[in-house]
Amino acid sequence: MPTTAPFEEHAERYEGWFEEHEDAYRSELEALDRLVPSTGRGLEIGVGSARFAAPLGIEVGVDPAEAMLERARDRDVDAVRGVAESLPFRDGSFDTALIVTSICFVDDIPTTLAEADRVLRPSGSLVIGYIDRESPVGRKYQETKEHNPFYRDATFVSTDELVEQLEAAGFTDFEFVQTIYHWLDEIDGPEPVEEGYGEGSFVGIRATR
Amino acid sequence: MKESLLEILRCPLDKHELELEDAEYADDENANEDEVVSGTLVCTECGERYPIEDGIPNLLPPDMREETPA
Repeated sequence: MPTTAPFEEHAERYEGWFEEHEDAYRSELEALDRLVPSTGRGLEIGVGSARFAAPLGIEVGVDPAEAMLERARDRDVDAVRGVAESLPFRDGSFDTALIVTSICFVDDIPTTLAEADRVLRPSGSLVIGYIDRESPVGRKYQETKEHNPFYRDATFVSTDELVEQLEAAGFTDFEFVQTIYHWLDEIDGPEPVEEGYGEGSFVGIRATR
Repeated sequence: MKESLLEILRCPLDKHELELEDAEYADDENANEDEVVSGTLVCTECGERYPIEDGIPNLLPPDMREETPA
């Protein structure tokens, strides 16, 4: 079962994070905006309250947590309750599939990537945004996750691990962006968005097949 | 949910098409298209039934439906 309960029980706290860490959120959004195509139909897998889908122009969102989906709908994203490993969509329905800070909550990354592959058109692209486990914020999350209701059951990944899994699922042509160079409480103003990975704690990957 | 979303929605188990039954629509004259507020999506292959709750289709695989706290 994917991690759902904390998102049902702590929906307000989840929303509060984006308000308390607005500069971090804006920097992550800016990084993803460089990777997400501006045309075509998009799906966000693990859409949450659509904090990323709505400003990035992604039309459809799927998530197992109902409390999150009600907020996604309020942000004009078509909300569907479901899980990443068994997506309830037709083959080849989307030009973009987006997964933002959700890859750490899925039960099965290979099945999730195979499902993303299935619902994408042949020309479509997959964009994944996540906190790199081998980064300052990633290491801190990993060390303190027992005390965080959202991250207690999370499995963080490194960029090298994720690339390996993407390659195994048939994805190629990787493009990377990174941001967040300070601990979250020390961020004051938008953080720069750079190409590549290895320095920023938040990494975005775009892949095609 | 917008009724047009049906075009891309599929059964999460076997990926076959879904048929909308007992649909109730929002009475909003300004809406551009039909907004389904409740009803049932039925798989045309396996017959599994998926509820539309508060306008959100619940397409969780059936074995996960009960485990998820409301």
